[in-house]
Amino acid sequence: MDVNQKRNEINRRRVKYGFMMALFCALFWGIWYVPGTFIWNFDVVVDFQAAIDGTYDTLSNKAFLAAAILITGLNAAFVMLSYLIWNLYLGKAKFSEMKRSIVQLKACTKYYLLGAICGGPIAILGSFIAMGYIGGAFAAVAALAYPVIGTVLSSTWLGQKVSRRALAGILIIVIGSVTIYATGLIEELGNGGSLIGYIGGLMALCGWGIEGAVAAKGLDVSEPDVAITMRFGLETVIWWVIAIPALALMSIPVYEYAWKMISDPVILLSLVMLGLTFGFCYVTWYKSFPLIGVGRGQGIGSLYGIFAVIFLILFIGVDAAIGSELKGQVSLLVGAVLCTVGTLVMFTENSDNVVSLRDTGEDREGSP
Amino acid sequence: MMEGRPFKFRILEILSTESTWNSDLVRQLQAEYGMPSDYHRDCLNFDLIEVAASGMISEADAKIDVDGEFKKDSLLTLYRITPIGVDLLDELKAKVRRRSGE
Repeated sequence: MDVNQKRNEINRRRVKYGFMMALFCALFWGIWYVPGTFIWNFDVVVDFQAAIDGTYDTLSNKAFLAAAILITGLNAAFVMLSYLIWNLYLGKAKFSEMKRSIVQLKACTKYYLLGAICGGPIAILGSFIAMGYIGGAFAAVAALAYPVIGTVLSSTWLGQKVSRRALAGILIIVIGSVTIYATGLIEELGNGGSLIGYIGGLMALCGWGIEGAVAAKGLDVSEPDVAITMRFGLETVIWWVIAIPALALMSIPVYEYAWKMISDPVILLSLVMLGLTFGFCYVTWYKSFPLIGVGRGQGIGSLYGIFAVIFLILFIGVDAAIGSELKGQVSLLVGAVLCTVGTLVMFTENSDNVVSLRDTGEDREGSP
Repeated sequence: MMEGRPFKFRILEILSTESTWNSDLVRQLQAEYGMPSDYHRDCLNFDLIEVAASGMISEADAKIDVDGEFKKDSLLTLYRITPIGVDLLDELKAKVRRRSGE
């Protein structure tokens, strides 16, 4: 094998690895919707809301938001636990690199703090709010267009190149994913929904879109495993040092119910599932960005829509996941075909187009 | 200035002084950061691939490692810093947390 063949092979392998990471991200993200939907139905979560309102009859927005904050805080803590295990597996060198990186507040950590804010109190909380107020289908579909925001930001702010083919692939996947949920979405919107639920969906869409671009900026100067641990460490601090103590100061029995949740074996198992699925969804999401760029990484990541449907069908049945009507099943089939086409459009792009994700500036006058 | 700082900071600094083969660069990083194993070698080499993909460094030359001086039959790459890599390094130098005496 000559040098050119070897170079092309390495480049192809890098791009393939990046796409595989993004695909795993979509898979784990899709699975996450199963425990993420289930957790709202546990008695302890309903009891917590009733304890705030003093009644089970009509639960208030305050009680609902408090529950969403508690669930999101527990989700972050269990993701962080899964990262501690992951980094122990990767070895001592990762912890040393983390120590070196976290002290570089201006050069490095600020991007992960911003990522933690966009991802945690904006996107993930927004998604849980949308799940609880309107429904799982709306929550999933509301965020599906996030690669559009990520692609625009990564192109304008970071200067990442986005080929027409990649852009076409991203758009086909977004349209396909929206089609999958179309029937459920129309039904949920027809039931009225609520303004807070729509705001939650918008929070998820903007939060994840912006987080991708911010994270990519940070990933220019740090390793993905280190970056994601720092990002979730900071999100855990936001919930458990600021938001949850603030709820406790409002006389909401948040610690009591957090303990009740983790001491119940079934809820604990659900939290472990949330932590593992979301943790590895994020690891693979962050690993894909430096290899294939934010637009492609997020575009393939959007396939979580189709995986969410598959896993919801497996765990809660066809009727509960997509409805028993033929139009729901047809929209799922059409959406799945579109998603597959979009993925293939991106996956079969010539890897030469992805050698460098940016214009390097080497055509500048007097460049090194 | 970037010694003992995150790997990617140091990679940019080393390449800002001269173009360097990945084999030499990885060996230097392994020695500086106390990461002697082959696993660490491959991790650091992967960091180089990520930095190159981000456009901060680029390939100036390449050859096959026929003798196995780094990793037999692998591609040895001579990396150089790019103008946007120089810009990023300048930005990092301005933002990096100072140690006493710096």
